[in-house]
Amino acid sequence: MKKKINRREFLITSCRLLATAIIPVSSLGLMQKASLANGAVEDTDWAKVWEGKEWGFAVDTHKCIGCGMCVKACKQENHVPLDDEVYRTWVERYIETEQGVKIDSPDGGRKFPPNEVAGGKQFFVPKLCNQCKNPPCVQVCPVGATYRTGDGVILVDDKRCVGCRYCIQACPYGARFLHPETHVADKCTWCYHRVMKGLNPACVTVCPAGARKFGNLKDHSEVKEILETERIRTLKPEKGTKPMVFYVGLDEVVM
Amino acid sequence: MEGFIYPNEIEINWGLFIVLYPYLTGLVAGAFIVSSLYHVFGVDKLKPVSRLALISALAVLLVAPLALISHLGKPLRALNLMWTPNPTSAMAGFGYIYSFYLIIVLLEIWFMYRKDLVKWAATKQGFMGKVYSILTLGARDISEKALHTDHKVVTFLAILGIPSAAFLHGYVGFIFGAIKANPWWSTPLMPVIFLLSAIVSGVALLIVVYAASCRIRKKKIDFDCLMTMNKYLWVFLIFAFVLEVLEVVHLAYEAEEEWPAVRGLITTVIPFEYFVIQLGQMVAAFFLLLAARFESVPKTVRKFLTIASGGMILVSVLAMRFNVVVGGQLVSKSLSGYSEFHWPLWHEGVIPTIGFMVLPFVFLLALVRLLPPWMAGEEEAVLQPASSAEDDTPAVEGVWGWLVSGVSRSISRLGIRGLWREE
Amino acid sequence: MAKAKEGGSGFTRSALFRIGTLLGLVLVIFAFVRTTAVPASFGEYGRYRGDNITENVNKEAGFTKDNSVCGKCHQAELQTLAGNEHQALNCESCHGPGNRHTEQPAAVSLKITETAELCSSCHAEIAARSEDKIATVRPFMHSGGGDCVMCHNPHRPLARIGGEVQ
Repeated sequence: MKKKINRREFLITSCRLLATAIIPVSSLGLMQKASLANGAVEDTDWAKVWEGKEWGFAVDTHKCIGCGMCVKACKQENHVPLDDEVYRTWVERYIETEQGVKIDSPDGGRKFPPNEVAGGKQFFVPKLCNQCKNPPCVQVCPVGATYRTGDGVILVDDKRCVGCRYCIQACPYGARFLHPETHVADKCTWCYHRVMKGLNPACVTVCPAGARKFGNLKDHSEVKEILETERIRTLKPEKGTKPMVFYVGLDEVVM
Repeated sequence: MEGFIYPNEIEINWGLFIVLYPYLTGLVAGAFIVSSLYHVFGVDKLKPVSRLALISALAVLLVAPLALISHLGKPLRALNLMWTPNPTSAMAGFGYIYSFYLIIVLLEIWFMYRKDLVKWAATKQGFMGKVYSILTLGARDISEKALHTDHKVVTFLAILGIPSAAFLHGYVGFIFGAIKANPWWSTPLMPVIFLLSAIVSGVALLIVVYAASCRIRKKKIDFDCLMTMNKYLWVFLIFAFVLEVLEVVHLAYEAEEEWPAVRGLITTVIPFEYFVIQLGQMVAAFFLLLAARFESVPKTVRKFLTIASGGMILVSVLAMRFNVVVGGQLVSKSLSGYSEFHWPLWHEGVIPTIGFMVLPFVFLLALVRLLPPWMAGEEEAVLQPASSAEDDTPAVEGVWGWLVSGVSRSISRLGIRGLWREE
Repeated sequence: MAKAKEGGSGFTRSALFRIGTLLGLVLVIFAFVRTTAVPASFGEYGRYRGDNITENVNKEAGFTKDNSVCGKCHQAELQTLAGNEHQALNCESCHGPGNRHTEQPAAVSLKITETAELCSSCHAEIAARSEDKIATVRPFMHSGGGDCVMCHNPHRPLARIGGEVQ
């Protein structure tokens, strides 16, 4: 994708030779960067970058107010068509009534209608890719187009994916979908392209309620602190997928 | 949509082409096994269909991957499956297993027809003569000794082909059965269920194709052969039915958390497709096939019952593929609701699917013209002159006979009948 | 074109030899094509294309790091926000992804034109959104259909109504 960036244009013209050898990663000229100050170079040794890193994600369901900012921001950040019924992250609403639990997620949770049923236990649950330690989607991909990085994020190789959608079938969480424009599998990456630039995932960045936390489990981070102090649950632990999204206050009815 | 489904489940990702694929490979596996019953297990009564079975298997086998590739989001990358197969994927072996099986079928056909190929290469003139000449690959030795070798190779390939056919199709079952995310798919019984329904559908296909070919060629149906197929169809049908029901009974009895969702699927979402088209027709075919075995019943009725059962089983197995492939995706992984399947017309829809179901028969016509499968013993049988078509005792009576003779009349009007003429 | 003339030894003209040679040829061609078809970086870190990591990482970020980036130009707005109910919010939660705006401030505008819907996504009253987490209203009853900014400054939301939640 070609971008028009004044700052970088200047850089490119001034050192054209270098630029041919290096893919300039960062359009974040203003940002101070973490380890990859100048973006990823073609021959980056990722094994070294991954050392001492294991990303984790914590969701505090008590805090979520169901505004859907995360859903929208995620689509904008990751070029998922806003109006298509496909989501890298979404928010579910649970309403416990006498007839049983009513669940909905209209427009992925961007537009919850005011519900007629008042009272009872009601809450929101944000969902996203669990970046499982034992990921069924990676297991079933027939061509090796999806993989788990050494620091624990599952990515899709959109140049190799054949679009067979076996991974979509294999994910117990419904986290994957076929991208309506590229026709290859797509999923939440915890905004790996941001994380590697020292930024938080977009959903974490925009969440007004602080319900989403992201960080390195091998370092002193907010997520690690949550894991050490709170009672947490993961989704469908019985599937043996070892999810890496940890929920605080997750109700028993949540599937 | 009913209840709650995950937002990404609105689209049914595996549609009609994926319903078709196991259906087609099932027909292949079944047809191949019929031919092997003759070549390996010495069921001589199946001789009249042994070559036809193999040719039909090839015709269907050539179409199967087309359905699969058309389904891909990126069809041009299909060969990635051959270049970088992922060993942990249940799907990755597809390319290799399919190719292996295709080679076995081609080899078996080649060795089986070699004598004829050499003869045709010598006798035919013009373009076809050249084609046969190339097909012989220059191996023109048809001495007694060489033919004996051919025969041994055919037997060897037929033996090797049985586990391969079973593997090719059982493997398709495994692709579904190994998905723990899907309660309607995830069962170790799946490969066996797929395999048995495959055999059943393959035998049924042969019954129908054989009856139709006899009708079109104005030949008498070999009654013993038909009844032998009836017998095998009946036996395999029992196993197929028992396993299909066993799976559900087991789910119901264990009544784990996914059972209410599965129960809802078969009782409210696809009850007609499941209980009537899939299971009901199996039960009906079971009794019809049984009735056809009574000697007190007139032969024409027995033929009709067998052929009609074949047709019913073909529809039943297609419904079974649909109920598994699409039905499984209708159950939300949240176990709280059901997606909806909207029958698409064009994009992976009904029309191209019908096209893919007709295509094997087009291939079959071409293959039959290239490699006539009619057995040597038959050649002495009197070819009915066209004028005496009315005197020809119809092989079957009733609606079926009317249908078949109607179809064959239209076909001969189109001049395609020549395709079937013996040289 | 197969030749009619009888030549060569018996073995090379035998069916098994001919078909075996053909199969061998197919296998060799396949093996050769496969070596060129597998991407160079495949298997570098695992059974996938290593270069894809770089491709993924190099994707452009849409949202900036945090409000400090915005504050470099918009100090006044940040100061307005300071100390009030919205101070913990990220500018881009409402204004949308700002990275391109930081690069081309004039060309890419982050101005918000429609506020009623935007404010409602957090402040509309629905039962699951509990009052002790956030102030909620029934938008139409609260404003009579008027836009929120008629009374509220989103950067200092309660300023005009005396700091009281109605």
